[in-house]
Amino acid sequence: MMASTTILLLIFLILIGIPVGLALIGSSLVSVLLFSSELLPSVGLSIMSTSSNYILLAIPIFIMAGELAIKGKLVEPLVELTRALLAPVPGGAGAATVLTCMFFAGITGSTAAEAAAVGSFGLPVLDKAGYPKAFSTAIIACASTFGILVPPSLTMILYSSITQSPVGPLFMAGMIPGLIMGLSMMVMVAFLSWRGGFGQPERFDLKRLITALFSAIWVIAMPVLVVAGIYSGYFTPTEVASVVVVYGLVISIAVYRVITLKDIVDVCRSTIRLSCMLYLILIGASLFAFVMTAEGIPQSLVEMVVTLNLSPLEFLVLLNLTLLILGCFLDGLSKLVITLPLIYPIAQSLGIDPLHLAVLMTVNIELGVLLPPVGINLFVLSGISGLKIEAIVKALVPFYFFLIVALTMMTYFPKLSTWLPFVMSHSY
Amino acid sequence: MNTSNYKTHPFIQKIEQAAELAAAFLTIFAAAIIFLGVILRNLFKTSPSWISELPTYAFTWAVFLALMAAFSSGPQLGLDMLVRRFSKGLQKAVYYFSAIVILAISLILIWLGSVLTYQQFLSAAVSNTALRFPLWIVSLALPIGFLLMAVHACVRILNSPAVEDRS
Repeated sequence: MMASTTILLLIFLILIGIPVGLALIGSSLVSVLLFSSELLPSVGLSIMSTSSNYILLAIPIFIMAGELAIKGKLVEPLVELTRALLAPVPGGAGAATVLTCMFFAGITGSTAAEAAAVGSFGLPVLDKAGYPKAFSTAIIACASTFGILVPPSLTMILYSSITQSPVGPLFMAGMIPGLIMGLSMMVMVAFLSWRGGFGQPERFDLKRLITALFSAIWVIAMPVLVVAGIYSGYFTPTEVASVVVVYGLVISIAVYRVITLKDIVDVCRSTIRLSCMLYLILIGASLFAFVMTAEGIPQSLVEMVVTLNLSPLEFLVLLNLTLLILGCFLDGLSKLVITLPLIYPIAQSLGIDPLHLAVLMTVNIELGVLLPPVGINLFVLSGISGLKIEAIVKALVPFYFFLIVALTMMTYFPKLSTWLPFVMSHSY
Repeated sequence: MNTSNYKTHPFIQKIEQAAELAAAFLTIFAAAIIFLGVILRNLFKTSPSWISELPTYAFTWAVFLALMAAFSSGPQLGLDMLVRRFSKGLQKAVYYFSAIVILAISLILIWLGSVLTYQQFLSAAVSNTALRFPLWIVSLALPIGFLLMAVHACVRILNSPAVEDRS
């Protein structure tokens, strides 16, 4: 009764427009008050333990790094480098944008930040190269979703916090799928651009490439710092976030000389506002999980799946479909924090590798940020490009197929997610 | 994601700005302490326990202090597509109802947070690290943050909803 009241109330509050974090907190609180008031003192403790979780501290600091990269215009040298490298290839300007997104993904960890950053600089470049606006917007919308698959993925940090898994292997689990998806998307974009006759190949200019490389080397070092820092054992993910912030600040001030004191204040303000909303969702999700666990819902779901005699693959296909449908109503983060506490015990009982599950959920979220009506990348890029959401969605159709093929591949081949963490960590 | 702006009294605006400024300062402080920890460990081979403890407390306060600013004009991860399809009258009703729900949630959390803080204060509960940080100072962030949130909800109730913009 308590669980069903919570879920019904949650749906009602979300539908009337209450922000998801507050809806989670409100529905859980009401259920505890009505059905199990003896649990009430634990609610305060649960809120405080979520908000003072050291692992989660990486999230606001990586958000800060991403905001700093946007204000510091760190994407500009990346755009120039990837263009100098790939523009001589037919359809290369589009592929270069995908490559820019892949590099930038190693700095932000958030799809919306990446879409905003690459969209601001990448769209005018593709416009100039003769790409239709809807197509170039679709390229950036889809390519910027890689930000949550590769380190420093905020999704992986959340997954780690909810499931109590170490972040390091989770970061590594997304690397190969991220690289495969990025490279195959580059080929796909180049092919579509060539077939559509968008953009003429430019002459290869070694001098331009070397100049661009020297200019971008400081930015390329950022994702390298993240991965190398964590795997050399020098830094924890939270520490590497602070190192990236300091590094980003130093190169924005000393090398690129674009950031002002007002920009830094703006970075702090937008960081704390976004982090606050994310933390509210996390607090709400922990209360929601608390209520569900008190009612034994995860255990009942495990028993139900056992009764249904589902194979791991059947369960994963079912999970993908459910998450796709949920993606039309909930933003990625909310989808993750609400469903993961329920899904994780089932996945464990079926022997599904937590790393495999993490990658699948992340690719599902990637699809979700592109799905109307709540897909955040659609809104961000609609604002930048001035295009209507419908026009972007229409141009995204081939990319939806691409992501569904990628999701199917990741579902059928768990090794794509588990191999690298296994090789890189002796303890795993 | 949507963004909502409300007309607020200058005094309340000042409180909101001060709380946000303090939150921003605490976030920078948390990041700086973590960076200091990296320097201390890698260059000076020392790793005091407060290095990982203080930033979490600072950021806990930052999150709760920023609640009001985040809800006034920050990104709100919510779903309003259904509400936007309602008639103007129904939109107004939903607007007031959701503000009352936010106020009710805030009041419950002020109460829960105050009880928790008071209990920790009475029992002189401290963190189980060398720092022995008084836990009531951390827990106080919860009632203070939701008090600011309750103020935001009241401001929302006192303002007319901008239904024209939504439809």
